[in-house]
Amino acid sequence: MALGQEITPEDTSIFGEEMDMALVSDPLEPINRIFFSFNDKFYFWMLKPVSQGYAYVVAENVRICVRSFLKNLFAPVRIVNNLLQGKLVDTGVETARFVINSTVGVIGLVDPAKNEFGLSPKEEDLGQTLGVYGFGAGIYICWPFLGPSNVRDTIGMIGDSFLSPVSYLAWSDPGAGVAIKAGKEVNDTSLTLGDYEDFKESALDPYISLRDAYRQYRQKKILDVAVGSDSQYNYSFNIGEKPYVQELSMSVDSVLLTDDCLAQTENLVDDSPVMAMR
Amino acid sequence: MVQGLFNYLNAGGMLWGKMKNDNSWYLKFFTFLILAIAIPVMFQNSSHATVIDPVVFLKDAVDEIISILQDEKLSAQNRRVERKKLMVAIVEKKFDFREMSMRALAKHWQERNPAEQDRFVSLFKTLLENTYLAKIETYSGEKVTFKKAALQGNKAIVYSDLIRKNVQTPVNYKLKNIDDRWMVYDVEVEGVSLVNNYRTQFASILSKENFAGLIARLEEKVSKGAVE
Repeated sequence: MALGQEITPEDTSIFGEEMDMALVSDPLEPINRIFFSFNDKFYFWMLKPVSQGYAYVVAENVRICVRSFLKNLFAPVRIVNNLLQGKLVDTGVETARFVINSTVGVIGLVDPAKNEFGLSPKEEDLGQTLGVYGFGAGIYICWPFLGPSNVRDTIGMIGDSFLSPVSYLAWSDPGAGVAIKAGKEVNDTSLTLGDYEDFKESALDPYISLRDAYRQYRQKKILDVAVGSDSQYNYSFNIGEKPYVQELSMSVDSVLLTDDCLAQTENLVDDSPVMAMR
Repeated sequence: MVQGLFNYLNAGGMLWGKMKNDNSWYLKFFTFLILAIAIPVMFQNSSHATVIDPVVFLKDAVDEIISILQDEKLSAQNRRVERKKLMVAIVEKKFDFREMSMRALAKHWQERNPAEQDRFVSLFKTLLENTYLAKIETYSGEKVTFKKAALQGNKAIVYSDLIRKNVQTPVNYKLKNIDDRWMVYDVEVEGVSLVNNYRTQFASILSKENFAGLIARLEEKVSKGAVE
């Protein structure tokens, strides 16, 4: 009975099955579906071609740096929400990340905080904070351009915008604000091209699939269970103490990429594929 | 295994109760003898002999698939079908599509007859293979890290990370141990369970259409995937 000795009671929920349908409240489905197909068309007719052109002109490493830079700008959102959720250690981690990456990491272009200091980002936003406080998700909303959300996360998004430097820029100069938002979208999309197509390929009803994926994704984020708790064992049976690492490097490009110092020092957890599906 | 032991001890207890009435000491002796033999045999089975670690189980699958993808002879255009078949064979050994189908259909599974169930399993399996194996074939430069596992009863979760373009995506495999063999019955990507996601879709479709309608939709989807 060597297996499973280190299971702690709080881990049991991860095996829990969702036997009831837990269907999200979706009275706006007809309108949401219209916006869903609008976003779908927007992706295929605008976002994808533009991102492809951009990806053709701008090297991948540069795009990864741009993403890292923009992500660093939103550090105040993560710091404040970690604090609001009482996660003092994580608040410290995010603050340290912001300080290190803004200085050593050249205004956030690279992520030495993670690679040199082992400080992984702690993704928290106001939607999650409200969820932790016990607010329900409310009805599902599929916003044009912004994609899947719900009442709670929309309130969270508005609240978080007060902590975003991009919003302050947008208030003084709406044109510049929109340009940065659009630029961020194109940059992010250029790094995840094909994901949305794969998602649509796998779904019988893409609208329902995305709605459910968003619900599950946010639920796990609020409960912080997607990556498991630290109390779970780093397990090794026959493979020594090191966690098993398998490289799938099959193209020359990937080898070149890992040799690049920028790419090596930058290694951040970005918005999930779910968030990128619009 | 534990369940079996428990049942056995229970039976022993009942026997014990009887013995008191009968006052037959030799039955007592037999009970001890059987327990003395049975317990070590049981523990041997469960902890050493056949149960392999779920992480190793998945690592082997990944290794096998990578070796197929890296085989240059198989990457030729005219051997693509053969390559896919080899990968399907590995996936079939590791993924329990019947269990996935049962979980994805939930209460609707019971309402179907065996033939309908089989048809559904086969279609659902083909859909998953078409979408996910096709995706694997396009991968390059990704890294898979198996981090940790959690076990409970006959179930396990293996936590892994997929690192792609410096983005780390948590991918968790849920496994069930059947007859000392692990089988994957669900995959969670970024906390989104594949089976739950399909369950919601199937439930939504079945709330508007009948089962034949769902099958027709699956058939259409699968045939489209085969052309591409």
